Amino acid sequence: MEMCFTDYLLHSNPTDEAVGEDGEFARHWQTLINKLSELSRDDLNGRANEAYRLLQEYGMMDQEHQNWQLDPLPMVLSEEDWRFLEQGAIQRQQLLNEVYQDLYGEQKLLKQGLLPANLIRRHKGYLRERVVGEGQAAQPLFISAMDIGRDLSGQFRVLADHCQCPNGIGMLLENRIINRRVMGEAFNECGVRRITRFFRILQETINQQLEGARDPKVVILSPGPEHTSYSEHAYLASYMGYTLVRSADLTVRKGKVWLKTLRGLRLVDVIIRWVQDSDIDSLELPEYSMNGIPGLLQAVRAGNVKVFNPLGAGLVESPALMPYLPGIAEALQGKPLLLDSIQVNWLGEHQDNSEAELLTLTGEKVIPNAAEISSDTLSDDAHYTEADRLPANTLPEDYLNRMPLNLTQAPFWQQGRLVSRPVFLRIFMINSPDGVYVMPGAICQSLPLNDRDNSSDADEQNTDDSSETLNEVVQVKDTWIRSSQPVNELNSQRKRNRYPDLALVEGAVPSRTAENLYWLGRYLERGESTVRLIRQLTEKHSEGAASSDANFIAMTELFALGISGGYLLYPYHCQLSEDDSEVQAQVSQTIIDGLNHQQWPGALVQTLDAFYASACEVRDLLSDDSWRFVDDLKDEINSLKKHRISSTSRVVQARLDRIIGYLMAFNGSTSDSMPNSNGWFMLEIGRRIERAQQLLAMLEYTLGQELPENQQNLVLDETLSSQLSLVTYRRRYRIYQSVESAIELLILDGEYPRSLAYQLKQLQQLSQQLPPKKRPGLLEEHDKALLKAITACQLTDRESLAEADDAGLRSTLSSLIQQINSQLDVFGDMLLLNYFSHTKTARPLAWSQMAQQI
Amino acid sequence: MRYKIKHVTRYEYADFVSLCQNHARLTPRSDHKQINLNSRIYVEPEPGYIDQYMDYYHNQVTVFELPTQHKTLTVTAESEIQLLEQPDIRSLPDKYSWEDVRHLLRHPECLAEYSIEIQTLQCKASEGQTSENTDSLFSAAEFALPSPFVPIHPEMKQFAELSFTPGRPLIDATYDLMARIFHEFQYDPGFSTISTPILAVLQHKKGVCQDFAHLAIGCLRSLGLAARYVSGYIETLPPEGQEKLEGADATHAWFAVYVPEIGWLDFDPTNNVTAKDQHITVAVGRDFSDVTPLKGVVFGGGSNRLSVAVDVTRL
Repeated sequence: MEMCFTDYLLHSNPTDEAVGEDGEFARHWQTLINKLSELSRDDLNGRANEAYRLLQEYGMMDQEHQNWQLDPLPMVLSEEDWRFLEQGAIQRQQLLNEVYQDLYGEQKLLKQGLLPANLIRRHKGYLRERVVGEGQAAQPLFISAMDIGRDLSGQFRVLADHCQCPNGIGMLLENRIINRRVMGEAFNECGVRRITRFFRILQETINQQLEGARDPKVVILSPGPEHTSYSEHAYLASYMGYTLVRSADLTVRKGKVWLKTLRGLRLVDVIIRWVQDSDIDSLELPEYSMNGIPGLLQAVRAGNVKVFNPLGAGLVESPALMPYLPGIAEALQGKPLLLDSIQVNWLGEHQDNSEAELLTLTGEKVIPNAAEISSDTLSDDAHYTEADRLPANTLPEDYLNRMPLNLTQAPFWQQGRLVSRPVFLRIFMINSPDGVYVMPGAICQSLPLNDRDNSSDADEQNTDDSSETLNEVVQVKDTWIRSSQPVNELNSQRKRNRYPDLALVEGAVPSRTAENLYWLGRYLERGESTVRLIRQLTEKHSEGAASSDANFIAMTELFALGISGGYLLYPYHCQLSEDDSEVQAQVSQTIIDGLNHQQWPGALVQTLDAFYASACEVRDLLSDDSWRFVDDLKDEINSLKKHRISSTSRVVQARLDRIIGYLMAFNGSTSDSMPNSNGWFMLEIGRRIERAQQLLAMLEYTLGQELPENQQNLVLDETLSSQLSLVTYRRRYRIYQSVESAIELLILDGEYPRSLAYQLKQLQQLSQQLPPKKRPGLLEEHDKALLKAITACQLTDRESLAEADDAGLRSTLSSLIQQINSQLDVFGDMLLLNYFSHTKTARPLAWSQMAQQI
Repeated sequence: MRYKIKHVTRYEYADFVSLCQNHARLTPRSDHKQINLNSRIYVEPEPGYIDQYMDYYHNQVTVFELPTQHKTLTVTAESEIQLLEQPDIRSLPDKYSWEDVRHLLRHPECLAEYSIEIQTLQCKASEGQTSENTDSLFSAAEFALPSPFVPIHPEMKQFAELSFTPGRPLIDATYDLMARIFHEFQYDPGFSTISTPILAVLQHKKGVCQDFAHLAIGCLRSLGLAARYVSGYIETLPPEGQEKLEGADATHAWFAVYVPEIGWLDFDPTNNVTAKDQHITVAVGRDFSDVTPLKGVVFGGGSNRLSVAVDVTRL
């Protein structure tokens, strides 16, 4: 390993963060390097893979952006550098806060010309609806982030400010957890400052806002699973114990914000929002957005809800303000700005510089000519010259220039060697009542940056040989801040504050969450039974290949037909079609289709996809362990989709075994760790309904019609086996094995966990958890449906159920199945109607009839 | 002059609306030109919540919410307005060239120098007045920028420059612009909708009051001048010998231009007049999007039909 490091030193630049002026490793990196030198190359590779695996497992790496990698090597910052950064960040944050409060208040900065009024007033981020006017103070900023890099002369520079939705806190936390796991020894020896205090201050700051509020409620508002940072929002929500919501979960009534829960509307006091300003209120803001909460601005204006970060904060994070901050610091604080920004010019005051990047005022990069090509293809506009970079029909005042910046590098572990990559840090801070607190840690990120949140993208100047492959991958590092003080921040001042909100989070399950849990339960059960069925068919098929028993082959085909005909798979058409010849009884094809047929709604891949989507929606309620199984399943789905499936291969069998294992483990981990107050009973209701329906479909298909005795016995065994009941059945009935006894076990025995009667009884118990909609003493509609089903079940006996008529049909059995199925449908419909959020789409309504005007 | 105004807006929906939230800008402003003596807004069915606030442009906004199922929504605004005596705009000192005004809007702090220059010639502005005028210039400068419905385009500038010849006094040039729009453009309610871009209005020389106002605003802003959109009512008189029909009046829109040391002057390009004793202002903003009389969000409802009836009665 030593070799690696000496090699790195030989090829490194003097502008490398890890290298000192003397060409040796810098002092604050030495402990880490020494520790690493003890490791072998394979060892370090192993740790890199471990970090990759853990990152995936925690799910911070979302499916669409798998080009993130966590480097096992941390970034190390010396105490002096950190002290400077911390002071600089505090000053800059205070300044941004003053700017924010002024721009939405008295606007002295504009009147005194410290900020050009024309720039602010044409900025999309300027939320006129939030200007409170003179004499009132706007609410201060809450959580912010800054992207900071060091230029080659050694100056720290801010590349971007993030004041409204500073994404990355969850990622930082996870990086730290993973990094400590894979680099534990080094971490302990380096004296690294801890970051957990940040979260305590965060919570205390929120709690301070709630003082005096009775029964306060805090929600974290996310745009939803489609958003790239959703997993982080979910992570924060579960870390802090707040309810994760989407805009459709909230509604404004009477100027107040309410959460739609299973138990009705609950008043919301604080919204920690991860939705952009421009999307926040589709009633008041010009751009209509589905992510908005119509009426929110009025609720804020009326003082009925607090929103963090405060609305309008998008304005101050804009790079457009950057060139004016040093002047404002001098004027307002009477001192120079310690932490200056990257060089940005507003074209309203400066000439366009073609060396620089062209940005809109809000900081989006302008792709030259792109606007031109798309909008003006019809006209032959010849005025446009290459030198003129601005899109047509726009004014220079709407653009910024940003000068590219070369940044210092840090070592990364890449394919068994150390490579040098330019880096920058994202640090986080919070405006607490005691002042600005900067989290002593950071995400260190390699360039090129992602575009996905418009953060500062400096130019990719360094192109070493390996950059072709590296370009795709964004490397992140944990950042270790060295401390000469003994590190005991964790335990030193933990106040045992009683947070009133924590207890209240329970019992307020948003209706949408309840609905998702219900479907999660259904897909979970459906997935499990589908895998079982197909695994069973695969086994029989390979056994059958060696056998010439006609009954055995007939039985295998019957099951194949049951699957391909859609009788045994969701949505369980519970009737045998007259014309079976249409349906392919080819067993091997059926196995393949059952796993991954595009048109079969009950095909395994479809079910598991739906399972995954539902799990994502309730991510914040699942424990890490539960989530790990969801992730494992996702991998299995992906490979099921990718690989050609061969029905006989052992690989399929092994894969199905694994999938069953994950599903069962997931199920076990939720029932073990999820309290009812979080809506676990909803998941359970979904499971029970699905199991009952699946069981009914199976019984209808295999027992609805009398078969010749030899065949009947084989089919009966398989039926029982698919219900995991063969062992119990044999032990219990021994010599009395018959259709009659099977019916007793699978339908009537209310004590037997796989029976229909048991599922119905469970449903009856679970439905007690549903908040009542009627007066006490009156039976709810869904309970009536269950009662009918249970009664029908209890009032029949096994003899009549097993009895076949002259045509060989078990009509009593069929009619019972039909009756119970229809009551289960009623039950499901009632849940949908009474408990799930049936969000109607809001539509804008505007005065639009011109003819009414003169 | 005193007026009574009744403005009824009615929505009829094909299906039930379960929840509807609205913002109404239907309460006429009180300002240097008029006093709102009293004003009321009735909503039918009874709203579950109603509140008011003053928006960024100092228009009165009524916020209301209907939480009960309904198929029709009727909003009635009734006001009594006293118009204040206005000097004839032609009689005002038209001392600034439009280029001077453009310069002052960009640099409000220069007003003091201009004032001193002019002071020696005529009026004596006190220091307090100058600072007030500077503040007002600072605020007016916002209306020199493009806005959602009024983008700035070279074609508008070309059109405007025929009126705004070098060195021409601002008020005089604005009169000319108004008159040209009145004479060259055809009033055609069938031509435009709310989303017709003003460039199309300029090209086809057709439109309604809103289009003409937007166009004039675009022309002025393309020169760096400050112009704002005014929504309101105008008194109409029935044809000779006929009785005025109920609900026959309508909402109207025109524009105002900012003149340093004087303030906002209203011009009505649809009728080629300056607003004097027949124009009642409801709200002002950068363009129509800032003053929409009634906007909202509905849940449910399906298709809807809107009808509006306005009565302006001279008292």
